[in-house]
Amino acid sequence: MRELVDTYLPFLSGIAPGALVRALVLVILGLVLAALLGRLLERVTAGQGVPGQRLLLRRVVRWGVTALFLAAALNEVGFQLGVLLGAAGVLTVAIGFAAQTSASNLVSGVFLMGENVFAIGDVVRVADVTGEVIAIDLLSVKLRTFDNLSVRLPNETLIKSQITNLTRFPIRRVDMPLSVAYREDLRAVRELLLDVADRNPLCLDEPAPLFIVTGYGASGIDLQLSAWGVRTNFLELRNALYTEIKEAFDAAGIEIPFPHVSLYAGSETAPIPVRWQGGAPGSAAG
Amino acid sequence: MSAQQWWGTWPIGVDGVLDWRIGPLELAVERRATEWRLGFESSGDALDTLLSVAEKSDPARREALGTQERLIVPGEPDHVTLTPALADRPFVVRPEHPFVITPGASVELFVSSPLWVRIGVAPPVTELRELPVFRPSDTWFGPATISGELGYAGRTHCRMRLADLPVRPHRAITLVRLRNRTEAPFQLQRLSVPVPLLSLFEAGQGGLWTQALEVERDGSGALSKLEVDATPPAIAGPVEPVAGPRREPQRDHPFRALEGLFQ
Repeated sequence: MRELVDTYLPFLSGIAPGALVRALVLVILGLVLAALLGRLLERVTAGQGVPGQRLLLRRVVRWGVTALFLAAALNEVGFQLGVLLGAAGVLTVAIGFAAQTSASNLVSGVFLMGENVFAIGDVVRVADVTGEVIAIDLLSVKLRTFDNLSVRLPNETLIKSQITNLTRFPIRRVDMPLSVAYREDLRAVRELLLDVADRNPLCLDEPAPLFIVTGYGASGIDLQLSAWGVRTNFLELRNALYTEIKEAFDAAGIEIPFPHVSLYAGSETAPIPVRWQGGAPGSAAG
Repeated sequence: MSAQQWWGTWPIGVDGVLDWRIGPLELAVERRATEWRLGFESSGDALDTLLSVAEKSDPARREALGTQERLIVPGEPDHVTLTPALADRPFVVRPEHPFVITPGASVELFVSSPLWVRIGVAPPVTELRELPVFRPSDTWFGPATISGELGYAGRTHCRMRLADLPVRPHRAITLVRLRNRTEAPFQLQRLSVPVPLLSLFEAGQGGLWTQALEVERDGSGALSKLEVDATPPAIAGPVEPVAGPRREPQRDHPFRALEGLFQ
């Protein structure tokens, strides 16, 4: 400790008290100005853009102003800023090599915030993870999955991945694949499905529900009912519609086919040959 | 009090149950020594016109209703208050058949929108709950699925003649005057009535009315003028105010509302 004091005391004692005071004033002024500018920006940009972008702008301005005043203060007390910047350059390269991943995440985070793909509270799907965004940090985004697990997604991964935001728009479409037996009247099925959607108050009147015949399936005719609802009612609407469709089909005697397998005996009319093992039934009883 | 009036204030004793039937909605309020209990159920038939007001009932009747709620309130209120309110979102209706309003022409349309019931107790005044008499279907009103406004879809049509619109105890009537000041005709397919901005008035046997709306489509092609009259139209007869608007119109609200008032 004593050695440290002996080494640096001559330098510190060489600083004029006036310069030290000026440097201190510059630092305080910088901090105050940065805080004021941050608040001013917050007020001016309120209601514009998205919260993530506003936060990024405020941070850049605050750190920029603070750094400028800090540099001026160091200059005031006699630090050679040129040398310092040169050293900082070398240091940046060294840190860049040593912390490539972190730097990449940092840059990706800035781009993600700028792009405004999602905000805190949104529900997003990235690869096979779906969850609510609970934090957007410089290095990663944290999600809370619906089974209450915390998932950390590095920003670098996010910027390379396909992100689906499930809560961006206020309304969503529920697509319900269905199947009916080949003998059913498709016009009657259409009327019935559209009536089910019409009677459900959570199903939007406009955009109108869609009835689509998607093809002839292996066991029945494949259909799709697509109904629109408010996104907050998505699950409730889907459950209600599936329940009501089943009830309506049962009431109207419309068959929902289960997988059928037809055995072919080799000709159109001949029955399938059956051979009994261990004698014909009833032969044992005599 | 007219025969149609289901709103007001009624005294209720401890362990008393009062029952209302307002069109499709059946509502029972029970006062207990330490809590209040509500039972309610909607028949789902929007055209139901049954009406019975504050009839003495029993706890078994309340318990038989589909939804039950228990509420603890401050003080020892001994009165039940029912107040009508308009929907909390715009109400979207269609004319029976879409029609064209030619340049310079104007039309008057009568729109019937469903009511909500605010249930409260007093004194001290405490709101217990708000219920739609009939839950209308949701709808989206906007140029695309990514921009627009949520509303309720009307099962009935807007009418040009008041006589075509039956008076129902659980619905309010709004007169909308549309004027086309553009150089081009426009087809009216759907109309969004901003009911959260409107107040309710009682018009004797004529049921409930809101203020009239004046909507003008001007020459710039954009919809630019929405005016809410101070009172319902003269055709409603003498009126008494019953409830204020849910939202005070913002300075820029009419313009935004108007951008999507017709479709």
